[in-house]
Amino acid sequence: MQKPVFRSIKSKIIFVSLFLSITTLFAVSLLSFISADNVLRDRASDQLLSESTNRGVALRSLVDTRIQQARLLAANESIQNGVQLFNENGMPDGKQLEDLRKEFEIEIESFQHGIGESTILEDVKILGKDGTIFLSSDPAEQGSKLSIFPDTSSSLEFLPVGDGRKAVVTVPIFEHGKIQSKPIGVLVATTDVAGFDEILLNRKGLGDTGEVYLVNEEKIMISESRFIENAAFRQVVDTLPVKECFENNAEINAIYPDYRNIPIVGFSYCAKDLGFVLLAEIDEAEIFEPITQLRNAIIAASVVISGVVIVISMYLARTITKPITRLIDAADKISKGDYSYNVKIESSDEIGQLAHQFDMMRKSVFETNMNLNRLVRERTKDLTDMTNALDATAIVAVTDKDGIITKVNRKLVEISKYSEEELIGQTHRLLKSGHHSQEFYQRMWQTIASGRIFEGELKNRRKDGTYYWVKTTIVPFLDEEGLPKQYISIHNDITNLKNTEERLHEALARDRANAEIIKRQVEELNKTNEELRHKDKLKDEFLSMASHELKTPLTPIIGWCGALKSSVILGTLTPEQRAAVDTIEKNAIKLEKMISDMLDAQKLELNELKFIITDVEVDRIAKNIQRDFELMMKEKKIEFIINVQPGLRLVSDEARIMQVLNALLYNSVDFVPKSNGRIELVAYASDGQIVFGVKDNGPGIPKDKQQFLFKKFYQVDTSLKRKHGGTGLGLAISKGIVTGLGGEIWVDTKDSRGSSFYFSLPRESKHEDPNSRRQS
Amino acid sequence: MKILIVDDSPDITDLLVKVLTTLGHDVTASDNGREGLEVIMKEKFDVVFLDIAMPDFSGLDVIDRLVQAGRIKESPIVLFTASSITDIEVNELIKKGVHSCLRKPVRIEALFEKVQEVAKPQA
Repeated sequence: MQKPVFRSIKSKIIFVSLFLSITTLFAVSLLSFISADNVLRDRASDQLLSESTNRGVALRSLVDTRIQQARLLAANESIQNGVQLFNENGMPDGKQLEDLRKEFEIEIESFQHGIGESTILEDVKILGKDGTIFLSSDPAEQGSKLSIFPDTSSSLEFLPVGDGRKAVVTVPIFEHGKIQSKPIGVLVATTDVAGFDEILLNRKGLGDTGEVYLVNEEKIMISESRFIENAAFRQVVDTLPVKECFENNAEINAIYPDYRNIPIVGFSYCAKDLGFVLLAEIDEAEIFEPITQLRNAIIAASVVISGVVIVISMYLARTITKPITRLIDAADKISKGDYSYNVKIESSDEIGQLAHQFDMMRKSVFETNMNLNRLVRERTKDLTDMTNALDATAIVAVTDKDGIITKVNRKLVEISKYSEEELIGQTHRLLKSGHHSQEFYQRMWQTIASGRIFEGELKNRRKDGTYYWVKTTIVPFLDEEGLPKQYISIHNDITNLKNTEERLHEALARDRANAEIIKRQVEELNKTNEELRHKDKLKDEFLSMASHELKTPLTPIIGWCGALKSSVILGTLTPEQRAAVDTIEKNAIKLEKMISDMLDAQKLELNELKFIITDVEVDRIAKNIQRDFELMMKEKKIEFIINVQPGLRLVSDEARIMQVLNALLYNSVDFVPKSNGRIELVAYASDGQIVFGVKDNGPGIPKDKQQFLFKKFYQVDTSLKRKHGGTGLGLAISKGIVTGLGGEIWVDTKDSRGSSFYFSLPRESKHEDPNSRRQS
Repeated sequence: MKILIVDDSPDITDLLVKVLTTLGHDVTASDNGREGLEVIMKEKFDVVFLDIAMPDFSGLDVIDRLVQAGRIKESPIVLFTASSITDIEVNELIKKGVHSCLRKPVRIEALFEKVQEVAKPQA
């Protein structure tokens, strides 16, 4: 945690005000400094540039003037002739030399006259070809030798002479009229330096510390210094512009330390060809003095402004913090429970509003607190009542989060037979019976430790070693982080219940063993059934396949019979052949019918008989029956009566109704007497149903056999001598069809008075789709 | 009339060819479903007698292909079968475009009637 730098609003305000004012001041100063610096530097540069250039140019022109003057003198004809004579004949003797000298002095004087008094030729020497002084203003020098030899170049040098300086000019002397030729001698003239000093020592435009001076190639000052006496020819000046001039022939302007090692702003004028460099310099301190003054002014202003800002901000801070301090005091008192303190701040600003709101809050908190206290008292009383009620009815124990018992009630002491002192400080392990597994306790702990309520039944052990059962609820009490801080366990004695339950369990276990045996037997039975069903299914599949395989060969048999009977196809048969074919055909058709019956019977058994429900007209059925049976009845000489109520209609399966009627009619045809046989087909509406009937005058069916009539493969006469064929399936299939269409079939027969088969059908058969397997 | 018989039993095709040819019909016979299908696809017939239970390629396969090709109604198909196919299953096939079903064995008169019934323009 970082400690706040400013502990109070007061210090914050002071800091911020100071920071703002100083920052502003700093920014303004910085800008002023930069602009002032630029202005001053520019001004100094301009000034120094013009000074160095002007004076440099003036100096150069003065040097040129002096040399020109000397050259003019050297071009004097008599001097030229004198030098030639001297070179040819050597030093003349006294008289001739005296004449030449006079002439020389006259020439010098007239020349001095010509150039005016501003330049005083102080000393003129004429040197011959080997450097011997031939003529001199000082006659004592004549004849001595100087190490100067004729050369085409001219020069001007500043030299120390006595206490002062002189400018010495050296120019060549040529043979008269032959300027371009080799020089024959040298003229050396000395002049004063007043003209040069006038240029250099003029202080105009150089301020208080500026100076202009010359330095030669040996880095020796060759003019006077403003700061050091007798500096000429003594003071070494090894500064940047000197080096630049003589090494690179360059001029510079820069700030650098001068020969005194004081920083200056300097400009150079390089005249390397003349052997010197001119330096114009002003002390940096002088140039930037205005900046120094500005800085001092700003510092003074900063001090004054800071002082004022501190005073103002302290006053401001005081006016803000004082009421806040009062509010803090009030809050402190409220937190200690004293609600009587009234913050009185008579002000309409934000702080005044805050104080007002604070006061409102204080009152409201006070009221809420009172209400809370009252509520807490009420709830505490409720809780106490509830606890007392719980203590009176249940076994209660309180443990801390580690399961250590901290509180028990009288009921726990009674049931466990341990005293309160023995229980407190222990865990519930003291009561463990060993009945429950380790996992059981782990589960219990996981439940309550995760803050959920545990409910279960526990077997505990008393101090005397006997056991008791309790139904237990353990409620965890959670702390603010949601972790259990203590557990309350509430138990109810269920020992009696448990004992009863145990006895019940024992009884149940015995029953279960018996049930197990029965179950096994049933399973075996089911298995046997399953096997039987499977065998039955195999049988059915075989039947289905067999009937199909049987029908296929019947097709050409019946077909060829028909073809044989038709004279058109295979020619006319004899009556005997015709009878034979008839018999074959009749039997083949009978066989086909039996196969069909078998198939239907099988479908009946598999509950697979399906119906196609349409509108059925009974009149049409009657017509079809008449057509199908007329011929046969006539052949067998049976009286066939159709007695059908006209206009009967029903919704049913026409083909199936035809099938049932066919079966009943064939049945009757088989049983009626050979002569005077009589069969009647009836149909009428009765009780909302349609009833069909086939009556005959056959032998009838004995009462005791009637109940088996509709069973599969049943024959009334099972003796080997029986005269009636058939599969015995017809009636069984008929019953299946009629039942499937929602009707009933029955027989009404009296011995020796014929039998009557009836079946009734509802006017509308439901389209039953028995949920059976589809067979392809 | 042009009649096609598809049946794997030569006894049955021989019978039908003889009987129907005598009546003046133009009769073609095929002894397997695959060949039968090819013939139906190639030519148009007035009646096709189609057996169901044939090895390898059954009558139902023939019908499926014809339905897929959208040509089931081109030549009227009469199922001619001894199988235990139920009436309900036959109805399903009729809905798909099969004309009708004639169950084996059949009397020769019923066969003639069927031919006439198919020949009649549909009501």
